[in-house]
Amino acid sequence: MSSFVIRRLGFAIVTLFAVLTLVFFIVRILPGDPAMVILGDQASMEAIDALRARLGLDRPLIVQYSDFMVGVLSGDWGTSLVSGRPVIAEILKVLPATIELTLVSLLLGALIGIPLGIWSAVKRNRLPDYFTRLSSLIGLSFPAFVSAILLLLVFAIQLRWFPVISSGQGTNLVDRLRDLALPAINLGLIMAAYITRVARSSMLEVLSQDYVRTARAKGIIFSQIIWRHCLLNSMIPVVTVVGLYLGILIGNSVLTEIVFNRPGLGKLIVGALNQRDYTMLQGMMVIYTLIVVVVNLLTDLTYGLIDPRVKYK
Amino acid sequence: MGLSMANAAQTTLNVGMGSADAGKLDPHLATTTPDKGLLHWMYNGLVRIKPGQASPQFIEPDLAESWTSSADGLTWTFKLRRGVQCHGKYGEFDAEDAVFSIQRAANKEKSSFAKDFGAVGSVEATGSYEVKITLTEPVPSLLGLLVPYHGGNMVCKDAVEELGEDYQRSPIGTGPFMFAEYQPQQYVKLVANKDYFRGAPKIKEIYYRYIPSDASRDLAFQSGEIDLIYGKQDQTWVDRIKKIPNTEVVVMEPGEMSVIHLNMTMPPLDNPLVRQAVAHAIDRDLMVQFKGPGVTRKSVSVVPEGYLGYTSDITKYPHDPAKAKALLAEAGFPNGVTLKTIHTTLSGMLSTMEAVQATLKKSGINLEITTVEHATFHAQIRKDLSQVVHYSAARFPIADVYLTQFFDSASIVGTPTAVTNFSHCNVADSEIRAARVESDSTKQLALWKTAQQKIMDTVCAVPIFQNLQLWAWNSSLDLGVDVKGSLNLSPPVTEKAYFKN
Repeated sequence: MSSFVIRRLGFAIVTLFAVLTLVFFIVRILPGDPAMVILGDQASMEAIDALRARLGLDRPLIVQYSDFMVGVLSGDWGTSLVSGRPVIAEILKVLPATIELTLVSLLLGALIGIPLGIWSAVKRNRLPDYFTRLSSLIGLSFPAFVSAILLLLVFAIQLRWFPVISSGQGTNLVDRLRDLALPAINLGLIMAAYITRVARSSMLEVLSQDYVRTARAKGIIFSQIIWRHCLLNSMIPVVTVVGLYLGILIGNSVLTEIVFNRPGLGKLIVGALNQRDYTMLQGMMVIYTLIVVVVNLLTDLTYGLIDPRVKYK
Repeated sequence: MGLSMANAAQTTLNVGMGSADAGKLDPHLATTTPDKGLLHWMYNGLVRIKPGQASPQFIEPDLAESWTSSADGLTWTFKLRRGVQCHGKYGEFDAEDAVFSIQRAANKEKSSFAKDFGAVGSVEATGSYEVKITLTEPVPSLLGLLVPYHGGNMVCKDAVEELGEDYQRSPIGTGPFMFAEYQPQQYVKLVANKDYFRGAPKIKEIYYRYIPSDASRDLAFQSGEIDLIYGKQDQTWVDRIKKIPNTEVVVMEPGEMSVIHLNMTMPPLDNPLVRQAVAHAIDRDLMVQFKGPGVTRKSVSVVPEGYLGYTSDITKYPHDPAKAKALLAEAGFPNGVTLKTIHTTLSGMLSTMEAVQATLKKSGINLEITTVEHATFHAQIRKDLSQVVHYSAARFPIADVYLTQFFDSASIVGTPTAVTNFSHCNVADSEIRAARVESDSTKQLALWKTAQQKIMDTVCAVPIFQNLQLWAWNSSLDLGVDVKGSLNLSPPVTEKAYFKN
């Protein structure tokens, strides 16, 4: 397994290099001048040109690129062009909030989605199945920001069970959970809709296998068949989807972060893009690439835990 | 959290700002409304505009107790107030700090506003509490440069030198509130400056919360989690917020004026008859109704109403589609014309332009709108790529700033000294430049008036309306001043503000 991990990490380094190179050049092709964004619309061209020179943006692209790559390798990701704050520090300040939201949403999604998906598969073409399939379709179709506002209206405004906005001041667990509840439910329900459909399809496929038919013929109680013989086998596609979705979720949680006013990587990257904050965008891409690589690696390793037939070479 | 925050609200002010995060918290670099609105409560100038007002007519002492100027207007001497303390451990604010501050504001390496101080030849401390500014040419509006706005914010030398790059993350001023904490994408916390020279503030803490979602901000205000909210510049917002019990809404100066700039170098706009036709085709009354008469004001001149030097004594172009069509026919376009514009996707501005498009169409003017993302919009219009440019801006409320930035030929886009002259207007250069250095206020006003008349006669641009600034707050909050306007676009939260029981 260690050679498998090492090989994967090797691929990850190549992937990181390719992504960073692509991002470096693409953001600089985008129209829009970070110096103009920083100085505001009243600045003269002289001032804008002077700032561009100070930021090193007037140097040849290849020089900027080599400086950037050297910086990445030495751990210096530069400072935000807009705020002047170190990129790594800015990312690390909001990264825990994103990880927290993502993991709790994932947990909620799995706790709801997996049992629902199995139940739906077992009760195929009966009322529970129709209900579950309709619910998951609604969950997938509903825009995240609409469900977020609805949650706020009901639980924060009408019932007053939760705050509208994250205070950012909660130091105790109760406050943090209250801040986290609605955004996690919002993302968790969407994730549950996804997982439900995958779990259902996967379980249906397993249930159609010969060994399941044999087990039933031998008179084993159906619930035991599900629990002992089907559950883990049906989880491999679910793990794949969850792993893929996790990577997407970390970037796509921006709408939830905005509506619930939570800090996060999504907001950071949208802000950096709007303001042409090249250094922040580059730093964010390093993080995203690392997250995706790590999540994919963990997903692959999870297969081995679920299915003892999987061997790492 | 809602209940506990309401109980704590007697000395804690929660502000909801429409922004994702803080930018630069250095007053000589901050250019965005959210950053300026926050820094407003932390800094003083040598003079200030009376809290609650936005016009330079209300200038009064701030860190300077008094001032004199020489007969030729080139030398200004300011006597500073004694005993004013910088926040934290940085000691008393004295002449050395004032000199440092003005020099820093005038330094294009350190300041976004260096150009404003172009006429400052030298600034020196002529005593521990006396500052002398020597100008290279008269600047009658010098006091306006020294209010706590842009480069006029007074910084403390020791703090800036000690903190270096960290200064923009830990701003130090002399104002009623001090920086305490920053949580990324969440809030900046300010605490009361107990040593403030006008008296310790009654409000002990301010949480300036970054809430980019309009809906979330409104809901947070409704639930009581925020006490003071930045509003969407829209009548519907005012109507909706007013329904929340115990809410006060204020519509403040200065307004951001929406202007349609016509690029006179691009045919057919090089023909004055076509430009006049555009001016007659736009229905300003309808535009004001569209945006909301409670939050907008019709504009007739290229200087916003309320700015020092504004005049309505100019050629007017009332809405008259028949006349517009006749002018087009006279210009050789009996079947109408097509104009093109590059425009931002920002919803507030885009809806205005779409309404303009509709009114132009009735006069045979077809406006093709190409929408691009906001930063791209700013880049492309400055590359002189757009035939028509819709721009919405507020500036320091004297005519000189608006006229210089938008209508002086030195500001034409695509040139080394470019600012925002999108129309390539050059008809009033002599009046604009003469007014800038004219020390006789009557003559200055006359020059500004002539400049506006010439620009409107030429139809370099078509002003539409002014969008005023909107804020609302819980009526338990008393700001202690009558709020008519605020240069930094946020209500004045001073030592006088408090929560009523």
